[in-house]
Amino acid sequence: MVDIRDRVSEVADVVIKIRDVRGQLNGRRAELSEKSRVEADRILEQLREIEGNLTIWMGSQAHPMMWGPLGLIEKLSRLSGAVVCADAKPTEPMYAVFEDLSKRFEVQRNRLNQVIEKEVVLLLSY
Amino acid sequence: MKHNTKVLVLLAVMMAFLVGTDSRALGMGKVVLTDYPSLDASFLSALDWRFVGPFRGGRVLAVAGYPDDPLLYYFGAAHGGVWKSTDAGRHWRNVSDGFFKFPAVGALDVSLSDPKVIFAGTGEGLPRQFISPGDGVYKSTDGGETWTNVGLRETRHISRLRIHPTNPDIVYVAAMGDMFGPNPERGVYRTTDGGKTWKRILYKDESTGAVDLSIDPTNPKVIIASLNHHVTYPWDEESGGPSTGLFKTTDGGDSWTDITRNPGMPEGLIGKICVAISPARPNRVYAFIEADKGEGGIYRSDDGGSTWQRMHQDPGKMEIPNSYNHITADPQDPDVVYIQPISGFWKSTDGGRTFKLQPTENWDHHALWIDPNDPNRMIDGGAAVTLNGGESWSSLENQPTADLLSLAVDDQEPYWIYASQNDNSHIAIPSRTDDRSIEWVHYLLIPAGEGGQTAVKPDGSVVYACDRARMFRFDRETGQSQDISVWPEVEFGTAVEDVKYRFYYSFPVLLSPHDPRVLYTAAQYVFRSTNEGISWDQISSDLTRNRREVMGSISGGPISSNASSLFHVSLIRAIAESPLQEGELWVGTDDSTVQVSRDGGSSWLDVSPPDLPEWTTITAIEVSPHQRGTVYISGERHRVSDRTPYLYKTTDYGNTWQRITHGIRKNDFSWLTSGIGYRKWPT
Repeated sequence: MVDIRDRVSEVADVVIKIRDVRGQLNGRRAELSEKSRVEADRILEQLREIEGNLTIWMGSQAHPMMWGPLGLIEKLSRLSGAVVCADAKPTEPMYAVFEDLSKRFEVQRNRLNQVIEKEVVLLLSY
Repeated sequence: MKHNTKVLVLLAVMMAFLVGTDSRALGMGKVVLTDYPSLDASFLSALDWRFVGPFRGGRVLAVAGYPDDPLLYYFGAAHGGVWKSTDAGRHWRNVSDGFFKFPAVGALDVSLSDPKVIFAGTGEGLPRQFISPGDGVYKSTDGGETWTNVGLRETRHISRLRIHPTNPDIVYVAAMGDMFGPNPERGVYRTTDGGKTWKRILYKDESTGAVDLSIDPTNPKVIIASLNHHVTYPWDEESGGPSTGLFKTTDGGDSWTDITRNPGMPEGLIGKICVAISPARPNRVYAFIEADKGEGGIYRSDDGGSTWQRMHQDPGKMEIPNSYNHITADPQDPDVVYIQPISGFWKSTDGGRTFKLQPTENWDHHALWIDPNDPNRMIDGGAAVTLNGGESWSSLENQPTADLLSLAVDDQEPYWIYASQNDNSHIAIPSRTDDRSIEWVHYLLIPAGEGGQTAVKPDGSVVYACDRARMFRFDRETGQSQDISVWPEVEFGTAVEDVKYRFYYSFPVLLSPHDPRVLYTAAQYVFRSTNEGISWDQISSDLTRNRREVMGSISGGPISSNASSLFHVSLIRAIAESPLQEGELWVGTDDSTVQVSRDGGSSWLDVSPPDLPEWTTITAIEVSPHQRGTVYISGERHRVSDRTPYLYKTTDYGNTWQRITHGIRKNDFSWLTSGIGYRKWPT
């Protein structure tokens, strides 16, 4: 349970970080050249995709009632609910799902770090 | 065991007659049709049925009352016929048994001008994967005591029925038709002679059904009806399209005006629409509209539908609109309107601008009737009655209309019966008690959700209760319910191709007849646990046809997604183990496949009957306890609009099959179940 709780916190921190970076990009957008704006849009799209893997997006502007899949944070939260629903040691599949979700989270965190380090920093340094 | 015989005997006896004949096996993979002797009716009449419950209200799509009798109410159960109360919901009595051929009720109305006249439209009118059809319209002229079928037999699913307020011979029917494919019996129908003849008066095409009807009580020639393009596939559901719309007549249905695109209405794609003319101010019309591009919501017209404005928008009230989104206008206050989306029962007192959630007994709301003379009197689908405007409601625990998705029994004395209830939870009840009846004090509620199969240990100590893609181990002594799912990841909203294990909404679970410590379940693979679900071993490869070409997108659309395990496809729906040979496992899929393993899952052989059509769901497998190699399977294809029964027998482990449906009518529902006990568990 503690491991799941901590992982949920980590995912939440990454989501907050994404939103912070997005805010910075949007805040500086007006100052950017046309070419850099295109680059900013491309980065924003990547950020949205990463965020969509971490937390659910409930529709798009075009199709607001078409829900996407649950994000990792919701899946971890639901796993937490499954673990605590009985006074018993977690089952082996619960450990396996936790490991799987954690690996998927690491992939997204690494993607974000790469985007920030290689693209956002470069863009905002101009 | 012997208790199986008590509970599940009827179909077993039918099967015994069906299979007790010569078989003419041909070569490998061949199927032969076999003739059978006719069934001796006296054999079946010797069977005694005893009602055991449970008294827990099920899905209700149709409700009605009568203004001059504050205690009189009716409801139509999704699978349980018409029920009548003469004491405001304190007691209910079934009044359609013996008259209805199909007990699924989709619509109901009592004549305002003659309370003895009641019409019922059969067949569930709300789309979903497992849905019961009907055979048209039934009429009663004695307050529901007797009923006669008055036609529209091929409409299959009737979503709304309205009787003319002053002439009970004029009736309007909104027919969804067959929701699993194109058919011409869709649209709005009218009779002007009490049901002797019907005329289709509003129709678009074979994939567009009629959803809702609302009549102006002050001028019954004014009617507003909604149509919707709707087709359900095994893997998807389409709702909305160019043929969808809202239509108005001012001449009782002789001619209709399309008001779908009148000013203020959504400009983009439109899906399901429910509509209510305010009896208090008939120029005011409310509509609950599913629409794309964020245009859905509660709309209102104050000029009879000529112009509209959206009053309320809340995505939380727009989920799965095909199952919900009902709207009912208060008969006396034009600013009061009720809506029933997935999120509950809501009331607006400001003309639809804002809504407040109302306390109710029921948690899945699909119908509402309000007394035209006293709006404090209502009946809500469920069914529950209020006499005080919803401050309190009658009980749901007095109506045995539960939609049960599973059945299992243990070996206690008296034995217990276990089931899962749609829109509710698993429940266990004793088969008899020392009291006068089997009542709520004897029931055991099992904390696992609505959908799924059930297995139980012989002594009743442990129940394995499945709920959509999850499985729970319920310990009767401790009351603990542990999630023992094979893969406890919630995958709601995921395209099927991205789902790791394709468990169906009611996936199978099996305790080995040789060892109650061995538990089986299945998605596209078979899994086995020998430690009560603490861990699972995958003991097969993908045993389905793995139809990935239909798994690529999130199900539902083109407006609203409906991505639940109901739309998971290419998966195992039935699993059985031979009572004669431990480790001889049989599985059947929803994509026309039967496989057998004779070595405990180490190897599998595809032994599918070669004439099984595409998307045949194998619903049950029974392995003979008397003869090695003899197996019966049942299949069905309602999800592709085919009601043909598919029943087969093999006597050589599936090398050859005989089709054993001769004598069963084309549209009769068929299933296999064993009445013969064969478990070898230690006692």
